[in-house]
Amino acid sequence: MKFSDFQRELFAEGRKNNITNMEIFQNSSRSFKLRVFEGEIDHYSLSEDCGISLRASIDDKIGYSYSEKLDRESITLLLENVQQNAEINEEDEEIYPGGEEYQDIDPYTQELNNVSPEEKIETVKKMEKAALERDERIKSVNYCLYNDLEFEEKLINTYGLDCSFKNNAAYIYISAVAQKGDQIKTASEFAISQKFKQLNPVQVAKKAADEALSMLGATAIDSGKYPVILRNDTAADLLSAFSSTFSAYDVQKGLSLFAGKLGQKVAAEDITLFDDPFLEQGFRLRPFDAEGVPAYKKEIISEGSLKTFLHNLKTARQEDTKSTGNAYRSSHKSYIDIAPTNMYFKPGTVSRKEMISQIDRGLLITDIQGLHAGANSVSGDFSLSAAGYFIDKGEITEPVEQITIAGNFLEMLQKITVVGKDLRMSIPGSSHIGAPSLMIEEMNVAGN
Amino acid sequence: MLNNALIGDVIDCALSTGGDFAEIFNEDRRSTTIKMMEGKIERAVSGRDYGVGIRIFNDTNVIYAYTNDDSRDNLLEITGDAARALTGKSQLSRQKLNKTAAEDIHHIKQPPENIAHKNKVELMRKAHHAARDHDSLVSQVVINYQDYDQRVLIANSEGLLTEDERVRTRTAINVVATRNGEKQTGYFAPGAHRGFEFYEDINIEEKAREAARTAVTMVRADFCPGGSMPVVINNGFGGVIFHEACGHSLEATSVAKENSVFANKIGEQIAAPQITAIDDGTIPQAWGSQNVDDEGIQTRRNVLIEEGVLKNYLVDRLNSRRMDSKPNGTGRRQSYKFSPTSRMSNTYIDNGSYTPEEIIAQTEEGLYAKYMGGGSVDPATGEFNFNVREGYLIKNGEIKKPVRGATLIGKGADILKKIDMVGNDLDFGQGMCGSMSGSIPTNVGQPTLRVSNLTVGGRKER
Repeated sequence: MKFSDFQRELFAEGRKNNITNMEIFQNSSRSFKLRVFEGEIDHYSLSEDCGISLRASIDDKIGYSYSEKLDRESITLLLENVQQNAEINEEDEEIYPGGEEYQDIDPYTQELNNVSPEEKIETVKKMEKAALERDERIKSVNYCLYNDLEFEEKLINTYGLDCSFKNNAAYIYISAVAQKGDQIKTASEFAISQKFKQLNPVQVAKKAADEALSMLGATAIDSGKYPVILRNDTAADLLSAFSSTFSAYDVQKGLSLFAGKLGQKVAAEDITLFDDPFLEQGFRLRPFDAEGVPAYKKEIISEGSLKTFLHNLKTARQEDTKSTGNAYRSSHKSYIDIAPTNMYFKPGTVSRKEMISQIDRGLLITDIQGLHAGANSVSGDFSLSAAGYFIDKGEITEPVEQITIAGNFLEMLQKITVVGKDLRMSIPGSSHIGAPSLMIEEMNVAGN
Repeated sequence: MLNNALIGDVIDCALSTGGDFAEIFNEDRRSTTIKMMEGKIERAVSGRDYGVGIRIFNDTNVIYAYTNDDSRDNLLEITGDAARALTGKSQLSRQKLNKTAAEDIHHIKQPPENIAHKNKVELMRKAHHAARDHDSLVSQVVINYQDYDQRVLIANSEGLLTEDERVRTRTAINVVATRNGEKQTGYFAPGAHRGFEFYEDINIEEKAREAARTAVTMVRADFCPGGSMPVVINNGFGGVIFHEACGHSLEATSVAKENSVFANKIGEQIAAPQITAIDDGTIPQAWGSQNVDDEGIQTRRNVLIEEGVLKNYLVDRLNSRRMDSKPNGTGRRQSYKFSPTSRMSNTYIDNGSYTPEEIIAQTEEGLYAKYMGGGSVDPATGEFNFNVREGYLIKNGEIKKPVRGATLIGKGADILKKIDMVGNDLDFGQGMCGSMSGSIPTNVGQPTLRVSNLTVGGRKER
């Protein structure tokens, strides 16, 4: 069945069963993945995911059900399940009738559809070759891949809301391995774009190879307190690990370090944190959220003050405030949750080179590991294994490895002394998170 | 499900660029999951997963594609796109489809679809109250209920056409006990390849009380002393160590690429002579069973280790090409979204001759691991680390005081040689096993057994 027919029949059939408030969420995506290993195609896959979710409000209770097949059998099943689940559900939730106005954005590009598989294969092979040829100490490339993805979300309800949104992008990623004697160092690099031609495989390969090479000879440094620059990608990784702390749900459940801090100063003056569903270089663009609430750009932290948490309708109602348009569903099978869209620190005006020149003895951190276990979102404490470069008298001198950096996210935000101008968005996940390089006055470093 | 004409055309299309094998996996699954947190239903989701997975081989290269849209045009389009990875000419014509029906050995009596969700919640509530009321130290109870009915159709270019239906039910009970700010957990998650009739045969309240008893016993227990000692591991879920530390190394996925310590060891003595280990996908109504595997091959009872000698690996179609060995009904996948590979089903160490009482009585001093918890294994080295959920010290052949915080540390290949007593009380525990082809239901199992010597991690000085 066509989606439009299916939707009409589902609503009609629902009304016959005295279900009047219904919402259909449809998400569909197409993805192509290609991985090359030693000049041969190692992985080649295509996928199309499409599913719909029905939410219905019955006697003030919400039920959920989903289907991945659009036929009459599914209509019966969806309605039966939604009734049964509404009957047993004990959480309060509502269906949003619709907003007054939605931002008109249309980032989808046709261009990506015109790229042939052969061109994609060639790009990945070129990338692998460029890394291996960069230097004889590049011993292997352990990941070398291309991925493109397009997705569409639709939200239709019985109040008359009918909105949809479509986006696409292509992505290349490489991880290069450098070896000298017994020491092995890996480094990765990626590029993401809506224009295939803008993916530069040779440049990406060289960056990964050069970073791996530059880490050869790394040693630990003496433990102590050092001023630290978190390189843009590393700063984004750290922000990403704490991204759930801005969710009102986590705050209300006592799972966030920001609980009770609304309106307070939580960061240095120079720190402004945006959630921007319209950010041009962001991948998590959207005119409306998973409940249909209009999305909008907001300052979560404004010049150091915590302005708002991210809400969906349920958390907003708990606090008698409005949804911030951050309801999120990972798929038609999931519940309404909360997530940032494109979240990033506002860039400053200082280049990374200038930042480095301001440090007498310190560190540039380019990699952190262990974010899953090593970062506590309730206390804000983190202790992470790290690598990077030593800075001596304003210049990078030696690579550094096998150290840990430890601190507290909240304290760290307050100790940021310089914000770089080099904003970089990281690899998108459920949110797209980015940061410029950040200079921290002082951090505990454990090494020798 | 797809009709034969369309299946044939899709396979032809898949082979059109030189592939030498093509397969279709069509799935239609109904499932319900309900979560109860502290006696309150927090989420209930039901739905229908539906899709088609298409796999093409060219020697040992694999192309995989999947879609939810099973219309003729779309299937031929995505199959054509997938086949474009190869640039040869069609070399082989497919065999005519020949439908075979595997005998159903599971006999579902009460399909979960026919049971009202209210009744499922009632069951959960019973479990909740049984655990909650067990002891005042119980601080949190979470119940996760799940059932599904997965129908699959599998066809390939060799003429295979078969169908199977897998109905599974499970209830996971998680209990936390708190004392002086410290938390300990108890856990039971019984499940089976059965319908709702499963709950007529097991007593869910008993399981919930047992989970609560574990949590409460452990939160009151002293820390376990560390060191090297004999360890007696109880039957059932204790088999998780064999599953994780040995079973995965017997999967063709790791053997074919010689990443396994057991590669090239068929016919060698790799375990103590008391050990016979089996992977059996045909046990009626067992959690890890199915009539055919996800490549359409009838499941079977594969003896992996017989009296300590390595006999067999778990082999799927793709790896059989790399290993010069036939596939043996062990190709599995989470859903149509995954390309299948060799996986375990119901994997266990078989019964020996001792009673559990004899094993304890003959152990002067050591640790009794009544229930095992989670753990991890480094696949490259086989080194494992498992938590003991409920443990006791053994003194002079008797089980004495409970101890908490114990971990068992060792190597898969070593532990097999150090098992010196095997009991006669084989039992199973249910788990979800995650690997390359997704998360699948598997049974682990063993009788009570003794490891002569194992490193026990603990916080207390001896």
